[in-house]
Amino acid sequence: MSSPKAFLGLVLLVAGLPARAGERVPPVASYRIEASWDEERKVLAGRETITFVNRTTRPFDDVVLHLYLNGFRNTRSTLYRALPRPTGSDGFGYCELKRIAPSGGEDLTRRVTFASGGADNPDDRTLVRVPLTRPVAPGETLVLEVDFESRLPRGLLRTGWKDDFVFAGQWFPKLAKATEAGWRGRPFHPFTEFFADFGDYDVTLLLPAEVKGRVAATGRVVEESDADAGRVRVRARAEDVHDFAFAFSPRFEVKTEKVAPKGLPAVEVRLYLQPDHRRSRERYLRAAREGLAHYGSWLGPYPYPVLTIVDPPTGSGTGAMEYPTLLTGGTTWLSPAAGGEPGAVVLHELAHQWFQGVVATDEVSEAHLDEGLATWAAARAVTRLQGPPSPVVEAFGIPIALRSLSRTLPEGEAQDALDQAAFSRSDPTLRESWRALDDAAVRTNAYSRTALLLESVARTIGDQPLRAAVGEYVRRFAFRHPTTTDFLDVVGEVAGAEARALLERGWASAGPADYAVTKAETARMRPPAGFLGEGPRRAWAAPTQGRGEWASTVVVQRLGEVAWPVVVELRFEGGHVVKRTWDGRGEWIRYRATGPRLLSAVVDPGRACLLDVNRLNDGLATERDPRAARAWGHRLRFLAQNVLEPFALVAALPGAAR
Amino acid sequence: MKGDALPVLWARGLLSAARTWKALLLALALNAALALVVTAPLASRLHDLLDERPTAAPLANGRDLVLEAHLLRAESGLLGGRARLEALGRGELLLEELPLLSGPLAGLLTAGLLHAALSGLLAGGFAGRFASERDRGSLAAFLSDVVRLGLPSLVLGLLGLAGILGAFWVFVELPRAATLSPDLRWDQERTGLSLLRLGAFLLAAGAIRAVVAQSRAALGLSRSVNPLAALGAGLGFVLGRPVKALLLEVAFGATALLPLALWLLFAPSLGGGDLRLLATLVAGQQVVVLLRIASRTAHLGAASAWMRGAREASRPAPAKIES
Repeated sequence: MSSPKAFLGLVLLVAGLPARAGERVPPVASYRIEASWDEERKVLAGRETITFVNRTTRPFDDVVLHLYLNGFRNTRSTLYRALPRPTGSDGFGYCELKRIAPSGGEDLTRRVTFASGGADNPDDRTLVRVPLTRPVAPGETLVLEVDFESRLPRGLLRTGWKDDFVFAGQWFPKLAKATEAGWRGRPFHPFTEFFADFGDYDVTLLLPAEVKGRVAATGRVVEESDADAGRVRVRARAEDVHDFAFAFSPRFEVKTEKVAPKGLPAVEVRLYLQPDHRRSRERYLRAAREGLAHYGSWLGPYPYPVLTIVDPPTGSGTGAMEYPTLLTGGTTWLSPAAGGEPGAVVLHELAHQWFQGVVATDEVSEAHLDEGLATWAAARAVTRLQGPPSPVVEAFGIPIALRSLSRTLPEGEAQDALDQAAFSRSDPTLRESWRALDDAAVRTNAYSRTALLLESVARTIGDQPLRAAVGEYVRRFAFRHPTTTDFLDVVGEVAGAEARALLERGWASAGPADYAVTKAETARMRPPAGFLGEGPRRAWAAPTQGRGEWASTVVVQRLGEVAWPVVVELRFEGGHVVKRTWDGRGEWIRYRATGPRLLSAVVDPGRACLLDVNRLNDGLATERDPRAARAWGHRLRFLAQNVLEPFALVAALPGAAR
Repeated sequence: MKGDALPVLWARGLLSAARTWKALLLALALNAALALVVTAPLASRLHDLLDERPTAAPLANGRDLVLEAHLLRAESGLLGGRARLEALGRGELLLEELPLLSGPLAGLLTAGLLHAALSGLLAGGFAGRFASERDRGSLAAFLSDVVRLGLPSLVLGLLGLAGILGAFWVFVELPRAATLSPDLRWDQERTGLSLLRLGAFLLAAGAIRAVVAQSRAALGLSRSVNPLAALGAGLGFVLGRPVKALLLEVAFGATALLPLALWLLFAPSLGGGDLRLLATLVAGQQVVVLLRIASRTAHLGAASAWMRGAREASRPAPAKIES
């Protein structure tokens, strides 16, 4: 441990300043790791030197380390309590601390205690606390030497192996996030991800010789040299990142391309492809190429010189995951281009390079800040760069794109959020992700609901203000760790108070938005009837049939929890259209009109509020229109006439409209 | 070309079926009536749900995945139990859960079973007519054959259905997990094994259908009402000529499915508004169904002609009597 007191004042000054665009805070948690892969045992054994610089204003008298792979240690872990039990030994893994000591200091191994979740699950072993013999004062640096052994499971939840393919994620003992409130770390939870400080990584790996030239890693592979016993020594370095992952396979086909989007710095894209996925090579590269340009011009330049894309084998459990400067895709041999993959997954994970890679939010507690923003950004990117994808059905190993159909994004892939809001309502998005009821709650809130919410805000207050706000958020918090409040502050500042209020409303509620036109009536106006007038002027007027103008009444009700400003459109005979805006806050609103006959009333005709769980009740007509039901009845009868022919089941597939 | 050559049998089958056109029209009418009855509750419910809703208008023009999701969410029981419906959509509904389907999906399943029963009964009538030398086109004679041979023919159909379901379970369900296992290294292995699974099932189902067709032909020719005896005769016949029997099944299967495939690919989509188009499309659909039923019937006609020819060929020549 060193104590550069003279430097302390300057460091605190720098740490206290808000980072500007392109400015990076000095490293907090840096790692130098040397590890050797044992193919037989699926074990990485190694030593790491952790350099922690305390850039908070509080001292730390201990350190907290994540041992993520202990989530796979046994069926008592928090992770495996929520997942199906593995059937064989391949499903298990571990991360074991062999020795831990400050550089040149006392061995602390015997003082290590498990800190994984306390009352939640005392059997969890994914978080350890190591008391220090001397606190790390603000501005001080602590250097820890750690010997460890990590066994990778059969690929599951972003890490592991399959045959000769190995993807090592969350494989080394890693510091929890240092904050002003102390260490922030949660046990490895199956439905949430990670949170860590920025730093530099210098990693040397001893791997089988046949993977030489076929090792993908965070940052850049800077050196490869032959070692003893048929092995190769691979050294990779990464700066200003908060995680390090690598992958290797002797069968990788490596393709490198220099991408230089107009007005943005050049990036070397390295694709590590499975041989059976060759057909997807250009789709991978095209998505990376266009995504770097699209996101770069919106969110600021991709700040690293290299982007690595790993294409995992099907069924490896490691696809569709983001790490700093490295992402994993996912495709299959016959994946049809119309289905949009692997472009869509690349654009999602590439968006994470900004939303979590650069703006390093807490994925364990606020998953919506990275997954939601990435889903929304990717939906827009996919729509703009590739067009809406077609649904794909797989029949006997052959994926078939239903080209006559398309899924508009984000709503085409986010209906699960509306189901969750309508039927489960278990958790508001703002509840810490790891506390959510189940996987579905985390997934729908973090991904789908947030994407729908952001798109709804964009459609309601305007596209440009929200885009500008998100761009400003990234610039302001690059290489920092903002919270939901920080995001909302920027949105309020740039896009306006209404945008902020709508986001807060959507995130604070577990329920749906649902506006319905519950009454739409129109009738000829009738003259008054009965005894009219006073005293001697009182006269009897008999009830008569109406004639002349029409009197119309429309009632719109808010049936859902989330209030949203909506437009109500009234259509009258003769092509007259009247639009009124309702702030949507009350339980109902009534409109009365006289004049031409009312034909229909529709709330939110422009479909601005995508959180509305029932679009069908958004409108009511004064006359019945049997066309939709008639068309479907016609299709159903033909299906029933041919139900004995298996081939006729094609008629029931989403693509068959006739 | 010999009388039992495949193209000849195919043509003779179609010709035989054409002669029974009155019975075919009756079969079509029963088929359409059954479909009408089974789908009526759902069609009526759709009118209740959609007719007053201008936001449902896009559904008239075809598929709208998002709107359909909204419809099923708003009316979660519309197509029956939600969990099973979703499993069916993903292709993961287990065979043993089929009877647990509810709502209109259960109705479709029932329609399938009723169609199977109906076609089994009617096949008895067709078998009787194809075996007869006279009155092939007579509706009265056909109905009389239905009464006489319908039940044994239905038993044969049920045995065939059980066999096909068994083949589905053995070749499709049982090895499903193995052929889709994440342990397979390459995608080509997964696809290849899955296609192998499908191929094995189609082969088995084709063979079973061929046996049922020949058994029904035997039923008509023998004038016996014992389905097991007919099954024995049909099985023996197919085992003696397995390749040609399968090819005959494939030929008539393709003939039956071709109009359906063409319709699904090229027929115009109904927007629901044009009643003349609706009438034209309904008429077109009935032609497609009629051609399908006629092709399946023609298979029985060909099977009957083939079996009769084989029996005649194997009969010893009459003794020459010289005086």
